[in-house]
Amino acid sequence: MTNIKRATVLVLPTVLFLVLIVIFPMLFSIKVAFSGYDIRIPEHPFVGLRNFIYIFKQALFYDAISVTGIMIIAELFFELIIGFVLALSLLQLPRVRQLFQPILLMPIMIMPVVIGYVGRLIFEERSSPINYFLNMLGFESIAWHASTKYALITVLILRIWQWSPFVMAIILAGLLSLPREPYDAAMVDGANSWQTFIYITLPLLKPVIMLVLIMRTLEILQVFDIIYVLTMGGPGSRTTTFSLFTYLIGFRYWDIGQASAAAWIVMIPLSILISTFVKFMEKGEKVG
Amino acid sequence: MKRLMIIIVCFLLILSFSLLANGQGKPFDGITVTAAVHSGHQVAPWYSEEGNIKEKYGIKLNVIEITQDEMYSREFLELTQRTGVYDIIQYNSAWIGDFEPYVLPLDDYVTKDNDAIGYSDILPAFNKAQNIWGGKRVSTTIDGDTFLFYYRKDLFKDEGEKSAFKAKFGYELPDPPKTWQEVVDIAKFFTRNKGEKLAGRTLIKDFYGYADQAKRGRVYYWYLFRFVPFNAPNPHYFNPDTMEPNINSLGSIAALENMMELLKYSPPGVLGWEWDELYKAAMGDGTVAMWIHWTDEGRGFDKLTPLPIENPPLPELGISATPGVELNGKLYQFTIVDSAWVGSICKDSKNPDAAYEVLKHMFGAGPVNLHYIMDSTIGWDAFRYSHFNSPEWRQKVPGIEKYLEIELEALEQDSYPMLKIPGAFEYTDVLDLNVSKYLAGDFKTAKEALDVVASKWSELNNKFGLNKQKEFYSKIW
Repeated sequence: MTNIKRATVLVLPTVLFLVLIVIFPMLFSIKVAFSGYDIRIPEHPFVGLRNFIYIFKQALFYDAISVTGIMIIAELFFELIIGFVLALSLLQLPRVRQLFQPILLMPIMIMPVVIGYVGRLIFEERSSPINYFLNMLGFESIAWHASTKYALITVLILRIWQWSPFVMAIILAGLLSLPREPYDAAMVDGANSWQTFIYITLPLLKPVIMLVLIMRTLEILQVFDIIYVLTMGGPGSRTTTFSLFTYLIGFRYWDIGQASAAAWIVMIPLSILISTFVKFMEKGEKVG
Repeated sequence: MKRLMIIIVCFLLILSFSLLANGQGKPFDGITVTAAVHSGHQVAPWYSEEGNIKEKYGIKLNVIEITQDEMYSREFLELTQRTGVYDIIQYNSAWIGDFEPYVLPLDDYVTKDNDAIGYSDILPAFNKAQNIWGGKRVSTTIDGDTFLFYYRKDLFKDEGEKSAFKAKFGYELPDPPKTWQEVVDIAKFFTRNKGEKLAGRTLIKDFYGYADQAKRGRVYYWYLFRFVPFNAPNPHYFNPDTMEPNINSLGSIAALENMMELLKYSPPGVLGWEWDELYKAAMGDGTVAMWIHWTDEGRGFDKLTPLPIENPPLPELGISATPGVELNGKLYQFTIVDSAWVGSICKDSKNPDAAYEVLKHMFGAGPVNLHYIMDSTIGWDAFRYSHFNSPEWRQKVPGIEKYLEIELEALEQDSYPMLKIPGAFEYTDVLDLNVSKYLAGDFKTAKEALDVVASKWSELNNKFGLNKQKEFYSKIW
């Protein structure tokens, strides 16, 4: 067997797998997005752009995009800051790192559904331990996830608590892999800690930071369990995320065509965003 | 060797005779019936009866547990794809509009065995709201869910509060309240802060006049409790002739405004309340004067916590039908019968006769079903006359007769079904979303919110086919 034939045979299973798991569903979802595909109705005619137009007309779609957008910005901001602080702290304390790192990573090992249910208990207005401490400090109780003002904040608190350790772990791994020489040179040149951080650490960590941004953005777009359990998207549509919106249309209203159209509407700007991140990442690697 | 062979042959002969003997008299020997059921506490009777069903009928029962939230989607997927995986499905009868093509009518079975399952023993309210669809029996009731109005009778009986109420509002404190306007007055009257007086004693916690389950995904029920009476005397979800939505009528708007009004006298977290939170606040904390809920409080009347005051009186739970509306001097009260849980045989079942025997065994009139109905941990509520009139239940749980008699009375007055047409979930979810948005302050007026619902309901009518929806809608009544 020639090398080319051998290579083809060896690669073929993976290609078939990719076609079945990725390519075929993607092509099918494009077809479905242009069809009237409600599984309760036997006919699935071609409807052109009707599903897309319908989605663009839904107020709930814009609410969901807005909520998801706020979550992406807020989570990325706070998780990066907290993740950095924790990573830098652990970097400075090599002896305690072994003990504290697994403890700090525990939140990401808990299922989001469990966090949602526990969140319902700890944030419940009447019996919340958080409200107990607020009352002790002289503040009024807050209705947290039941409040129009604080519902999304409550979700963000739980999510940031869960995912900051993940960011910490990635950044710590990046910090530990950085070369020593630039720091030695900076020390010789008399740079202080802040200057070292801004002019050496951050630029060298750019690819890692970009990776964190990409991974977290993709995960935030899929957030579902915690919202489903804690608020079901309410009060009103205060915590209705894009994935909950798509779930409702696809798996409660059974309009798979509209759900596919919604997914594709978001896919396009998301692809542009991810490409931008990747370009930054590649630029960072070239500079490094 | 020869002796050994003789022993083996004799053993095999004895074994086959005994197997034959066991096989005799079991009509469905070797048949497996698969039942898709609600997971959690409701599944226990199925496992408990597995052995009895095997012994009596020879049927091997295969129980598939599904969580409540996933029942619609998982069952509907299997039914529409005609997989034949399930023989029996437990489902919410509100979904019958979507499930109808896939479930087997049971009338032939009922005729053949002279109603051995006991439809005549099931309250007409449950047969009408749950089991009969387009004139055919398509299911049997599993859970007699309905809604009752609960209130703190110990508080309502206080003479000091009664006088103060009359002085403020000009009429006697009604026990029980009969109209939604009375509920608003009473809720306003009884909402007090910690440190104030209630029933002549100092409150140790904030106390609230009323509470709903107002969480997104649940709140539509608590709207419908008002929608129905506020649209008396002949409430309808749609105009039966034109299918024009009635959800934004003047009565419907008044109903939603009533809901918003009562929010002022509710605990701050109600917009996030599901079953647990309302039950705990009302029964566990004792900080709510009035609420509407399923029948669990009625069955667990002795679990009511004392009022949150110093030296409280003995707790006493008041139970009545849900409030109505007075129109031209006449009181219109309706008891919404929750579509609740029913059991049907799937059309694609390979063993429908065996499946029917299982349904009869589990839910037919008799001691098996009564045993589980009496067990408050299971979550199956009474739905037969033989349940409500059971001397055994009265003996087992002293005091239960009060709840049973009131519920029976509530169900024998005007009962009202939930919406059951194709896409029912979508219609109610649209209503739920916009009611939730109104209560959250996203709409300035109730009319605005309900106009959106009406518009969406019209869109859905067109999506499913106006004539088809009209035909299904007529089947509800």
